[in-house]
Amino acid sequence: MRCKSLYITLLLLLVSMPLLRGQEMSTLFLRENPREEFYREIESDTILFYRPLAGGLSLYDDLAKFGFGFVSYSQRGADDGEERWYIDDVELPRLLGGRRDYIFLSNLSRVAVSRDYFGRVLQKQRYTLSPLARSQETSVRVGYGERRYRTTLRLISAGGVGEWRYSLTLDGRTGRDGNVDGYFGNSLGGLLSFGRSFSAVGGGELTISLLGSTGEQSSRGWSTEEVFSLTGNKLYNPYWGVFDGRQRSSRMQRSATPTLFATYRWSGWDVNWRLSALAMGGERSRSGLQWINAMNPTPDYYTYLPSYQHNPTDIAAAEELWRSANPRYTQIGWDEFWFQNMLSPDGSAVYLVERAVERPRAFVVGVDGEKVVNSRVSFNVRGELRSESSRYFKQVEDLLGASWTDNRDGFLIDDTAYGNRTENDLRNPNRKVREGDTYGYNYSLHSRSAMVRGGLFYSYLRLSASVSGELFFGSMWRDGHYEKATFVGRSFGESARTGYTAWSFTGEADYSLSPQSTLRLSLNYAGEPIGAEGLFYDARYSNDLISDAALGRRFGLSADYSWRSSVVRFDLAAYYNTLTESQSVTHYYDDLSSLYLDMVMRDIRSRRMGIEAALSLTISSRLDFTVAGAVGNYSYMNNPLAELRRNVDGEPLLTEERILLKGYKPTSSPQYSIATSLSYSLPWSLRANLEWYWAGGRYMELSPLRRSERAIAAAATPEARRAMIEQRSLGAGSQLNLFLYMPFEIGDVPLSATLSINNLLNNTNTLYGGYEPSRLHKQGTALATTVTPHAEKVLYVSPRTLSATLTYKF
Amino acid sequence: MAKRLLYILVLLFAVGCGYNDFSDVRYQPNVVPPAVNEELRAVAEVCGYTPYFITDPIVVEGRVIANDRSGNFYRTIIIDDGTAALAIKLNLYDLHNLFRIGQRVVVDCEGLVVMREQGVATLGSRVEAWNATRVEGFALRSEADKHIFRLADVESVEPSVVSNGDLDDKLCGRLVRFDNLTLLPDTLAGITWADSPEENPYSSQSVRYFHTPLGDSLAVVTSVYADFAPNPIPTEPLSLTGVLMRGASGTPKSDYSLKLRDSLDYAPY
Repeated sequence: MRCKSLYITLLLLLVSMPLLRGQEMSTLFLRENPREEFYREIESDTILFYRPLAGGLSLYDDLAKFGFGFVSYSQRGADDGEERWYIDDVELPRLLGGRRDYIFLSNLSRVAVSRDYFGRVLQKQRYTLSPLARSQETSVRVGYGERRYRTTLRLISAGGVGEWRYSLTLDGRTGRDGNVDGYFGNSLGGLLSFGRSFSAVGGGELTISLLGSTGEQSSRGWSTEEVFSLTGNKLYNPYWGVFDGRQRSSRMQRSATPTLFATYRWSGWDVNWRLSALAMGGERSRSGLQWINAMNPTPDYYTYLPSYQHNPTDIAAAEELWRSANPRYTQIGWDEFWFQNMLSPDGSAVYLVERAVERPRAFVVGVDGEKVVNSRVSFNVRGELRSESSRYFKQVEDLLGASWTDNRDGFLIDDTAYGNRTENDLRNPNRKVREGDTYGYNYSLHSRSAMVRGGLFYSYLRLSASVSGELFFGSMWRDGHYEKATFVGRSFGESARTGYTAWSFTGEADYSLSPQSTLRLSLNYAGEPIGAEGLFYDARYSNDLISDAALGRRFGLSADYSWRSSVVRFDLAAYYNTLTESQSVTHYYDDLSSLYLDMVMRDIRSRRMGIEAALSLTISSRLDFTVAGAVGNYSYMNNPLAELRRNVDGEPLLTEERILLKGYKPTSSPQYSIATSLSYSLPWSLRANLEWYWAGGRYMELSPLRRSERAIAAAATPEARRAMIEQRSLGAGSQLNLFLYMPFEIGDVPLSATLSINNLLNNTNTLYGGYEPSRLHKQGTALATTVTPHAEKVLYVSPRTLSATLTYKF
Repeated sequence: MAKRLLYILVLLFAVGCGYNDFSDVRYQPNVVPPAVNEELRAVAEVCGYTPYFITDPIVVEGRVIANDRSGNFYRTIIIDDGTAALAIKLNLYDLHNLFRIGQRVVVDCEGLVVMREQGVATLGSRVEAWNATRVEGFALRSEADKHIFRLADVESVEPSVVSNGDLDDKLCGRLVRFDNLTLLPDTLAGITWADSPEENPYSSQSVRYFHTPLGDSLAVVTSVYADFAPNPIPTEPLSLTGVLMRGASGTPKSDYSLKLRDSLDYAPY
């Protein structure tokens, strides 16, 4: 029977894999704001399906982690650098910086055997792939949804063959979003793992897991409130247009990431050992439009909007155009791009679709040893070697009817100083670039590191405590594959190698105040290396290292109190986190100097602190009620200094400029939140969850450039100055969600069904998030000029959406 | 039954992919312009130095002879149908991709205003609010597309070879070529087509005078924003091709002048 189930599943695998089309890789093309492209929708079905697996969460986190996904949310306002993902004890690669692969992480979360959360200061997610952790099961689940995907299918088969246990999970999704035009995707995640225990031959446990992840998603674009208001469509998406009668997206993310993970455990010399190895490869890419000496193809570019016009007739005409939502002008004009390319006198492209590609390779080998000294004391040690490399390049995806493009810096073509130094690859000059060819930039980043960790655990009576320390030794460098004309001698070949020694110290203590109550204190202090990409002024084009790239300092303190009885659960937590001496590199067009610049901000300091409380009551055998809330304060603590240099040739513009960040909010994550959950078990095993979330204290993600001394000084009027320095509130938002779950049988076939309705009240006036663009408006005359900021880009929450699943267990 | 259902579901799932695959699609132009009922000469004849509002259903066509590619014609294109020329103002940028040299366009003039500027019949959406001697260009591409129909038909337009004796207002706006022109003898050595902003902060246009072997002189007007503006003017005899104007900025009102389109418009004679 077990084999029969496996054979069925494997057959389905063979049938479905080639039909679920293998996806090419593409990385997101990024022009404006990195956060815009990477907002993650935390899918509602994860609440129901991962809560039982999500060990290690407090009551507040249990609700908040997925419930606040309707707004831009991160736990305790955490920045991207705080998130850590693990497979067992092997951290997934991140030291090269760059973008998170959310397609991969999303697939991983769906096919993993289990997930748990650990660490109270740094929130870490750990995935288990081992089949030894999974009970025998064969099931299939089909789903229908209205959020990004329409159809989902998950197959699980776990069992044993002889001495071996196996686990096979396939999870596929496809479809168009039910409400947002131009928003669709496919993804396929698969996990095949084998494991066995060798207890009969002296101990040991081996697991081998092959994880496959592939996916393709279009993006949903952010726009200005002027556009949302004029179109009357809060789900307006500027990233798509009509082509050949169908919706075509200009922004696609693609990912294919195979991962091999193996562990072997054994015992020897009274020590429990574990050897683990990870190998990860693949390709990720993001596609986007490129244009050469042409009008901006973005339909909601600021010059196309009524707010840019001065004449009342033009304003009226622009407003009427947007109200009519004529897709020829209010969406991407694919036909127009083709038309202009067709008439290009030499066949070169005016518009094209390019993709920014990353090919990561990561190898990690680690050994753990854990020894129980006595009933109170144990210690463990870990040693790890890590090699990460990624190749980055741009590639032409679609010439839109043109024959070729060139490998030149399009921004320099008409430049009076650099118009004769436009070649991106001096070693292959004047190359005609066709579809599929590499161009633009081409480089690799490498990181090699070794880590040692030691931890001591003590447990006696009511107290358990642990201290651990980690030391990292590593080096990072760049290897350029193009010699750019404006960076001769500084772009091709290897850069200098940056060595670093990083460290981390963690202490945790749990004390049982009573059989029902526990107090936990957690502390973490670390000196962290910045990612390889952040070591260079512009890693795309040159080997120029930022001379004093130092370690950032991360400090975190958390105190948690919990009280448990048969009917009441109570949690109270306080936290204090700081990030100091951190550094960021930004590339942007500076309207004040009319130049493209690299900006390095040094010694950025931020602080997040707050209190979380949650109370859960079992009111009756059928009814549970939970209420949770948090109050926090997130702010920058200082005004860092920035160094500006010209992107075109690396010449300095300003060695020090003060950026006035102190007191501003470093994140748009809500500082105040309330979550409630009412869970009722109805007859026939039907369970219903009604959840309400409220998020407040939210602010636009700010642009440091607007707070530069130069920019504020250039704002010549009180109104302009106010617009420049104000960090606008996103307003509060709330959402009501309903979940239903019911197991049942049809004949002797066991089934279970779920229905979830997100945003039950269809409240669409809440902003999901927003950010300040870096561009500035220059207005006035030559004698009297002022600058004002461009309008913020925002995104509204999704409307009421429904998703349903049906699970059949064989 | 359950397995059968499963296979069907997998197949249903499989067909729902490839949402953004357009690799086999080719665009076919499908612009349908209105019928042409007049020549450009008709528009040029009604055009004076005061605004003329076109209320009749006049539809003309022409081929583009000048655009903003080099930066010498700011937010303007010029079309020519062999009978006359018409400049069209558009407050947009990178017009050279929308209006290729030699591209045929059809223009529905009804509701627009035309006026002579620098001798050239110039079409715009309205008169400038603060300067009644100038027309204003289309501020939005959507508004321009209601009147200007761009066709997938490109053919080169040859300039008419002229001399000073041929100059006439009817040639204003048209593509002409002068042969055997040399810089005036007293011109500074190494002079460029236009002064840099540092050399001349008061005007964005520069005038250079050339003469023929017969002693006739011709002014050539170049914007400081033209990409060939910093090029030195060759001292040998040249052939100059460009758009004829009259009363251009920096020249006497009655004088004809030439405006080059790009660096290919000057070549050794």
